Amino acid sequence: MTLRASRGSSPSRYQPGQGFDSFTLKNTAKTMQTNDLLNVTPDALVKAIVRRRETLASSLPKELERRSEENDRAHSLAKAADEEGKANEDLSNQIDENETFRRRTVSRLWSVRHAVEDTEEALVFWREMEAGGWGHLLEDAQRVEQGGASSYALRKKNEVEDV
Amino acid sequence: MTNRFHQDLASQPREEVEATYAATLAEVNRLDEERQRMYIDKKLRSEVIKFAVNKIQHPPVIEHPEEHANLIQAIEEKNEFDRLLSLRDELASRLSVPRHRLVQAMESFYHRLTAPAPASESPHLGAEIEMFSRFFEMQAMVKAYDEHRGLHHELDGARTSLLETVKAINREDRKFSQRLTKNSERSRPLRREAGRLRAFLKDIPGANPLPVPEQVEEFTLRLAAGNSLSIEEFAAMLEHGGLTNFEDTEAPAPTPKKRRASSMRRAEPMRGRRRQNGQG
Repeated sequence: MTLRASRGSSPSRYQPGQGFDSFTLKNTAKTMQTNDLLNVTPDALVKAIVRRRETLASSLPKELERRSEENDRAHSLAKAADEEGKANEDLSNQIDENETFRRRTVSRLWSVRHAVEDTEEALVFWREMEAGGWGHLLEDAQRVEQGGASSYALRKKNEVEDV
Repeated sequence: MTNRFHQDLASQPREEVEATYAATLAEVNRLDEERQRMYIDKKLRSEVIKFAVNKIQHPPVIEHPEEHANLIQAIEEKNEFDRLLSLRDELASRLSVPRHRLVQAMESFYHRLTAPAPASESPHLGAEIEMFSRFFEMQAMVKAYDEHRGLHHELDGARTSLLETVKAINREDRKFSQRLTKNSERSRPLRREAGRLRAFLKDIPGANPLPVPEQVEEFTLRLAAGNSLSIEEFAAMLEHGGLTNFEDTEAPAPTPKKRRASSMRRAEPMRGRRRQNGQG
């Protein structure tokens, strides 16, 4: 995703679909064979999650810095426009625009701050899991392996009983 | 005086006619018995086919399995088909999600959990934990499907085999119908002849020879086997007390005739409501 924050503008609104890569000749969709998916172990998946989280964590301080700068700039712009607006009533549109921009930057800043907190928490959690503590996460899988019903089937059954 | 139906018998010795009558009657009885057996067989086939195509829940009892190998085979194949079907249904209800959907979801989850993404698109910790747990549950579900991969082939095979056996029984059934028709065609003139001989021996003057009647039990068997009855047969059944009670071959006791009411007007005065003149 291209961020235009460094040029003092809002980031692109384009959001690629989650879990989906665009299918072009340059960037082919990364499909996994069923066998590959069946061979994924909890250990390997935890490691992959930790790796992704670490990559994300390394990029977040810069992102936070950018968003803070953007927010500061939005604040100063809004303040300046507000002061000018007191002298000149024709600048009301400018004031509204700056205020909208300021609110948006606050929201983005909080999103990044939440992401930072979440990433820290996630890293702690998944690093614990890395040590082999994922057993409680595999209870449903173990039930299915032992011939029990899947959680989807149980949910469906409960829905039918509720009706 | 010999009537025109018995002219050929008049010149023969009575013992010879009696012997012919006995032989004809024996042949008629033999054909009747054979036909009854065939009707029972036909009914059995019909019920086995009904069982095979799920129209009835329980198979018929086959008393002589050695004579009906194909029927036994059909029943066994149907039981096997039912067993495989219940296994498949059990698996489907246990897992609830089709295999291809599981693979799609697993791929999506794996990608979201592992592919680098900006913070705004990255799943939060709660979603990650949920996807991690679901991923391995789905992995177990796909493995369960793969373990039972042979089940669908077996089910298809059992269905095809059962249909082939049913077709074979149907073919045999058609041949059986032809045999039944031939039997009836052979029996009818013999029965007529036996009736003629009996009438001659009983010396019924001017009797129009009545054929020896068919055994009424046969009608039940024929109806049970899904066959039709001729108008004469229906008439015979009605004569013997209707479709449900045709075994009673005795003629019904004559009921006393009801005296018809006289059409003449009674001479007694009739008490009715008095006419009002409107002057009272």
